[in-house]
Amino acid sequence: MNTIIDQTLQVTHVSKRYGSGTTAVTAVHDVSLSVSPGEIVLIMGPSGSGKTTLLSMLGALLKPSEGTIQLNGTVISALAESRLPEIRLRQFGFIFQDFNLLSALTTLENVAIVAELAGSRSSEARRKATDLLRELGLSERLNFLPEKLSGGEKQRVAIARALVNDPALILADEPTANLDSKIGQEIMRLLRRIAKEQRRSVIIVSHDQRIRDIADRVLWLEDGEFKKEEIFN
Amino acid sequence: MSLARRNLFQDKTRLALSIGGVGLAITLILILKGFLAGMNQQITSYLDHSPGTIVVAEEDVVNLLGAVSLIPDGTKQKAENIRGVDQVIPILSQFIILDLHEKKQPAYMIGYDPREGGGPWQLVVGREPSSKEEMVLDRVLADRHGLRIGDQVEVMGKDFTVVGLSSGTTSWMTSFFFIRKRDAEALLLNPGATSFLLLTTTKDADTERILQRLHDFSGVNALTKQTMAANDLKLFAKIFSAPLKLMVGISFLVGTMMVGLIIYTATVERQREYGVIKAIGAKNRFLYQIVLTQAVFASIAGSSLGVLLANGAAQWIMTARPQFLIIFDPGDSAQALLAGLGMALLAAIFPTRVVANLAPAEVFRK
Amino acid sequence: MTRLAFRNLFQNRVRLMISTGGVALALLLILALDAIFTGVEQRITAYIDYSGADIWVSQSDVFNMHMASSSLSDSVARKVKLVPGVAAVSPILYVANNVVVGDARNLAYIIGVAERAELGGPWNVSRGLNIPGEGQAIMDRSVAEKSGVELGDLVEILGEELEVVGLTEGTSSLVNSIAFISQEDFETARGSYDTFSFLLVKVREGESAQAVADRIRVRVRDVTVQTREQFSGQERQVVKDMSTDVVTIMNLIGFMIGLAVMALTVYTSTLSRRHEYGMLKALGARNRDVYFTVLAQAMLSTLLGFFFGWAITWLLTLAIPFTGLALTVVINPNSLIKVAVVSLLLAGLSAMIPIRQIANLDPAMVFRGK
Repeated sequence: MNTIIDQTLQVTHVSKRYGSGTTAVTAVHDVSLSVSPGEIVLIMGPSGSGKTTLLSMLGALLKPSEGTIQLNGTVISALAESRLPEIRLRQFGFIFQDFNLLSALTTLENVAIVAELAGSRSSEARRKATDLLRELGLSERLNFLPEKLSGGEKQRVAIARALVNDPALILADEPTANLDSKIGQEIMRLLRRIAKEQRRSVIIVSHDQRIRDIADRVLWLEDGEFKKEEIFN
Repeated sequence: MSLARRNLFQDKTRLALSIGGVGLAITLILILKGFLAGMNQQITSYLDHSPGTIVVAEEDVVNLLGAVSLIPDGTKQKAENIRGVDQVIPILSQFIILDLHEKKQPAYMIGYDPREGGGPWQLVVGREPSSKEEMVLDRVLADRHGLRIGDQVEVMGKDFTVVGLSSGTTSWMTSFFFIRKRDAEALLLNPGATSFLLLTTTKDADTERILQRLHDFSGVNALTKQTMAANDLKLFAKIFSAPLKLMVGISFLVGTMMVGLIIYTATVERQREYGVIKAIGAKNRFLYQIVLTQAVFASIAGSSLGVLLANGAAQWIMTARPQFLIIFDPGDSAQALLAGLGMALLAAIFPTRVVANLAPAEVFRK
Repeated sequence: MTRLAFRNLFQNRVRLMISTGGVALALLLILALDAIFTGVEQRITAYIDYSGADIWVSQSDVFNMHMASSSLSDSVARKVKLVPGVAAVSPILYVANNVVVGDARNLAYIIGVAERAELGGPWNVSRGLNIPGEGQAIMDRSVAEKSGVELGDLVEILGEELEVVGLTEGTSSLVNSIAFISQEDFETARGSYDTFSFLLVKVREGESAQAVADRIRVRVRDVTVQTREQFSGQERQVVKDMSTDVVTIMNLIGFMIGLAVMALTVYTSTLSRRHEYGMLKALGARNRDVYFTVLAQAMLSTLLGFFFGWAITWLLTLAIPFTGLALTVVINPNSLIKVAVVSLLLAGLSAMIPIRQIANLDPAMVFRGK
């Protein structure tokens, strides 16, 4: 069967423990998950449920204590530290709740720099960035510094940045937390459109109930384990 | 002011670098001043240690180390006849350039009569010159060029044998060396010439009157040794005062900038925190105190470090290059601390304004 | 990443000003001292360089003019004149003495020149006559100004009262100046008839100074013969040898101060951007990408500091003449090269500090609470 190879992300029995012996803390316990291209997965759960730890592992920022994480067939959980930045750069796109744009760079430069890091020449990087930003409706804001952008605009820049290296998987951490509800909804619908049109997988970690509207699946994480799953069509 | 202290110490590296920078600036200032003090001592060492209280020079000459001086023949005899004058010691002296190991060394040559005096006052090894073409050289200068008793030094084409090494006769610019007056006359192609007369007086002599009598002689100028030494100091002060002030000024500015940088970053990074404090109701004065305390602490620590470093550096310099003399005055440390405080006050101005303009509402913004 | 370095650097103006200013000042310490000594060298050799002489003849084994005395007999002048290739000779009398105005004594090198001397007289007369006759003197204008002396006033030189008939430019330094009197007055004052101090020689057109100098050396005994360049070089050497240690010490201190400024700046600025750099690492930047940005900032900052230091030194050279100080400050290309190298070293060394800072940044921090 092709199911396993078709998956963008394959998480198998992953756990994360801190410390050892009697003082060991298990942040994530025996979590398994697979995400297919174009699928939008929402992970919800109370504070301290292990969402951040799980997200960090999925984003190749943290190694699991047990289990494997496969991205498009590559077992990234087994890769050496030195190879991870490359993976993150090309395979993942990150969206943060605080936007995390470089304050000294303009909109265009913020997106272009990520392409340059992946090896694009400056002119090509700027071209890619410009195209993306235009698609996202930011052509009037290319030379603005982040401090001059609204929350929604900043998040759109972040989305452009996340897409510029053509990643297989987008990881979003509380993407609507700093946006008002109307803008938040717009951004989420935009993300859904991109995911579906471009067949990119999206994993969102959030408290925001309204994101359920755009998700294909919602997983409930509590005490480091998936307790519940809802599937929408 | 525990908030001030906590903020300052939170980042040890940053604090260390800043204090280090201030310390270096202060060190430089202290070393420059100590160098000047040392040089002043070296410059007047001949006059300080030579016999006599009055110096007779050529008319209009007021320095030992300035103009070339040649007094008219017969002055010595005339001076000896003045009441109250005990001894009249003639010397023939001039600046000479010695070529030692391809290096040009300015030196002040003193031709004197070992029977009468006016020569080296402290021999560390050897003896005074007693026959033709012998010299006493300063020991530090000799060391620098690997010269020892018995070695030859060429002076204006003639070879002189080193027979003694003296101490207290050097400075970074020049050195004193001593030969017999007759040899000096031969070198300068001027038999019988005399540059200066050093006069010793009897116990109850009237210096003023002696000077008066001397002034009556034509072609000479008479002054007390103290006056002449003071003139030499003034002359050298003129050379060094402008460059020295420039260096000191620059060092002060650099020190201020170092303190300024650390205080600025400490303040700016804490804007949120300070905004909160303001929102709670603290007055600006409270925050000024914090900024000022940090500035003062950083500069006092820097100044103290500077004093320590300066002493260490001075020792090291004087060991590596003994022709330098660096003298510190206890007052110097006090001045260093003052300089540090000055830096603190200046450095605190801008961050204080930042703090004053902070809107308490900062806290509630995302 | 260079663009990021550039933008980061200019985003925080205050920090940029302080760090650039600090480095500029530290480098200024080195540049200014070098410039002062170069200026001294220039002043010291001014007379030799502008005298018009190609060759200088002095007493045997006398290689310098300052801090030296030289005595030659008149016969030497006659002998040198006869040497083939010699176009003109001018003997000068020379002594370090004073120009006395009232109670003020201004240290000066007194040059006695013959009225019809071709060489060795004043070269930059701004007012008045350009050769002193009997009873006359030509002195430096700034010294005259400071002493309140004008053309026509009397000054005392070597015990003689002389009338000031000309004022020159570029003939004074912090400590002394040059004054010209007639050969006759000098001889009378010093009783030095039939002798002179230096012989200035001009060579015929087409002849090389070195060749003529060699000829003089062969034919005239007991003298030292040097070309103008050699003589000038000897004088400069005195200053160089004297100043080496002082310059070295100041260079060291200046370097350390500059290093402290740069290190502090690089450290604090890297620290303040920890969050952004951590985020870049999360996005996939390698340590070396982030490190390159920091290094570039250090280099740019130091380079700016270098240019400012240079600019300030240059401004000093322009401003100092207006302060009335007879201090000459001259920027010397070797000094600039040295300081440029020092700056590079500074930047490189100071950029070592953030290596660990950056390596220790945990990219996972982006997802944890800040």
